[in-house]
Amino acid sequence: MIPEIFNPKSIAIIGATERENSVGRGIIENLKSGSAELFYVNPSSKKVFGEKSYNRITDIEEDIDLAVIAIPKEIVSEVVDDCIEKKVGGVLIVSAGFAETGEEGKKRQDEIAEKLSKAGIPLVGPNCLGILRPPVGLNASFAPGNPKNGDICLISQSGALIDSIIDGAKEENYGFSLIISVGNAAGLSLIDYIKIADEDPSTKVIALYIEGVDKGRELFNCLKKIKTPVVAIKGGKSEKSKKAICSHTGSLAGEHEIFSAALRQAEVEEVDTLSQLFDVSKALAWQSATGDRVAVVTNGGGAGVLLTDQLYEDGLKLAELNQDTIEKIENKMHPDYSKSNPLDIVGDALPERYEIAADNFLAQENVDVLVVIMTLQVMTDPLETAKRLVKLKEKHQKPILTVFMGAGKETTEGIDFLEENKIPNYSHPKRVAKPIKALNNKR
Amino acid sequence: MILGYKKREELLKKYNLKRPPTELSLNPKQAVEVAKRIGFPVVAKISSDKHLHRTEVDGVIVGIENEEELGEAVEKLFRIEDIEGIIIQKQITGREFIIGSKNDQVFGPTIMLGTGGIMVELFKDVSFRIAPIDKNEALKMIEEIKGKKLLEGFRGGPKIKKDELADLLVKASRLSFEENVKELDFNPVIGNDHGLYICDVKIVL
Repeated sequence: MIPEIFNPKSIAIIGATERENSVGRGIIENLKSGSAELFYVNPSSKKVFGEKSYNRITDIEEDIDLAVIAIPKEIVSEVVDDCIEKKVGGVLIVSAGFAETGEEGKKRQDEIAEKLSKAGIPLVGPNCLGILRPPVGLNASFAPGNPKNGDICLISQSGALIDSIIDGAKEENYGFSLIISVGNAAGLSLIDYIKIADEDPSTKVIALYIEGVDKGRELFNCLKKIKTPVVAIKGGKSEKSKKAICSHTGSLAGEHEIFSAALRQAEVEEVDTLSQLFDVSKALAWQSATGDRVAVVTNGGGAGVLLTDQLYEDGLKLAELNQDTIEKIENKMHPDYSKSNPLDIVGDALPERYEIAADNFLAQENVDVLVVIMTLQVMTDPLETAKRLVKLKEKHQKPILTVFMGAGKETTEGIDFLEENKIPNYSHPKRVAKPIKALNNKR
Repeated sequence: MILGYKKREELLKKYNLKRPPTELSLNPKQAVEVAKRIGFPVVAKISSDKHLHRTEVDGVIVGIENEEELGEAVEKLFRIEDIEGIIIQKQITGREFIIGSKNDQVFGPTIMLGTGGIMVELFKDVSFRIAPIDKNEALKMIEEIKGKKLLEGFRGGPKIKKDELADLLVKASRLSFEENVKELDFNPVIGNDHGLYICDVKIVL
C-alpha cells in the first residue's frame, strides 16, 4: 500500500511565505502545480499570495492529509504537537538542524520522531528536500520545478543531488514516478521507501543514491526480496577507518568491497556515475530482461568496433550472423556490407536498409538483443528509421537499444520518437553496454 | 578473542570442515610420535593466541622429511615464547586459496574467496558475499576470481573440483554467520587431485 501522504488531497504548509528566495515560497510554488487543496500557516502574516493564512494548523477546519514544515528548528517541536492535535495524515519536515548537526540536534529529532510514532503519524525527514510524485501531480519539495512524469523512482540520501538530477533531466525523455529525499530518516526509513516504491504501480525501476546505512542486513534482505529492479550508486567509497584487524581477510575486506558485493548479491545493478544511473534505469524501466547475445546493426564501422570492445569488456558477446540471414538480405544490401556482426550496412543506409537488416537479424534464434547505431550522414533519416525500429520491437518482442549519435535537430527528432516508444538511446557506443548488461542481469 | 587449538578444531568439526591430519603436541617427544603416526613429510608450526602472524616470529617450518629434521625444527619452535604447543600437520602440496570472513559493521558476517599464496594481498584476487550463502552463490564466487583457472589443471597442475570448493564455502559461510565470528581465515586452503585441505585456521570471536 502506498501511504496516503504520497497522494494528499489537502496540504498545510507551515512556514508559508511570499518572501523571495525562501524555502517556504519554493514549496508553495511547487505545490500549486498540483491539485491538492493548500492551506497556509504563518502566524506573522494574515495573507499569503492573497489567500488566508492561519495562525496555527489547529485553526484549520478541514482535515489535513499532509503537513509540510519549513520553519526554524527551534520551533519545529511545538508545531509537531499541533500537527498531532490536528491528527494530520502525515508530517514532512524540510527544516535542517537535527541529527546531522550533532548530539543536541539528535535529541531534538528523537523527541519529535517519538511523539509522531506514538501518535501513529508517518514522518518524512527532517532535513530533506521533500517528496514528489509526478503521476498524481504532487510536488511537496523545494526542488527546481517539476520533473517529467515517468516510471523511474529516485530515492536519494542527498537532497541537493535530487535538485541537480531534476534540473539535468529536463532535456531528457525519461521521467519519474516518485522522487523521495530521505533526509535524516527519523520516521520513514530508506528501507520503508524502497518497499513503498516496490508497491507503486507506476514505478518500473528504483534508482538509489546511497551514502550510509545503519541497518545493512535489513537493507540487504529487503533489496533481495522486492520484485522491482534496482540501480544504485554508492557515495563515500574512500576508506575512512581501518579498525584493528588481525586476519588476512580483514585487511582485504574494505567497506566498499563489501557494499558492492552486497548489492551484487541482492541483484542490484551498481553504477559509478549519475549519468550511468539513468542510462541503466531507463533501460530497466522500458525493456524486458534479456540474454547476453547481442546483434549490432550500424552505418559506421568505427562505432561498431567501439561497441564490440565495450560489450566484451562487460561480459557480453556478439551473436553470429547466420548464413541464411546473409542469403535473405544480400541483394538488398550495399555490395560492401560487412556480412558479419557488427552488421555494417554502410554509410548511405536509408530506413529501408536498416529495417531489412534489423528485422532479419532479430529473427535469428541466437539473438537476444539488438543495438542499432546511427551516424548522421547526408542521406540518413533518423525519424523514419526510428519509426521502423519501434515497429520491429513490437514484432519481435526482443529488446532494442539505440546509439543515434549526435545532437542536431534531425537526430534529436529520431531519438525523441524512439524514447517516447520506450527504446532507450545512448549518445555513444560505450554507453550502451552497461544498460544491456543490466538487462542481462534483470530479475 | 583468538580461539586456541582445541576450540578451533571443535568448531571446524561442528561444521564438518575437514583438515589434513593435524595434531597438537605439547613437547618435543610428543611431536616426534605425532609425526611418525601422521607420516612424513610434515609441517611444524607454533600454536599461540599471542602471535597474530606466525611467520613474523618464524613460527612455521615446512617440508620436514624425517625425524632428524623434525628434531631440529621442534627444538627451534619450542624456543619461541608464549606458545601453547607445536602443531604437526601432514604436508599438502597443490594450489593455494584463501577463504575468510569478516564481520562487517554494516552487513554483519561476510564470506570471502581468494587466490592464495604470498601474492594474495598484492593482487587482491578476491570475491565477497554476505554470509550465509547457498551453493549457487558459492559457484558464482568461484567464477568471479581470476584464480579459478588454477582449479582447472592450469599448466599441468592439479584438477580441483569446483563443487567441493563451493561446499567448503557454504560451510564456512554458515560457520561465520551462525557463530557470529569477528574474523576468520582459512589460509591457505590447498587443493590437489585428491581434494581440498584447510591447512591453517584462524578464528576470532
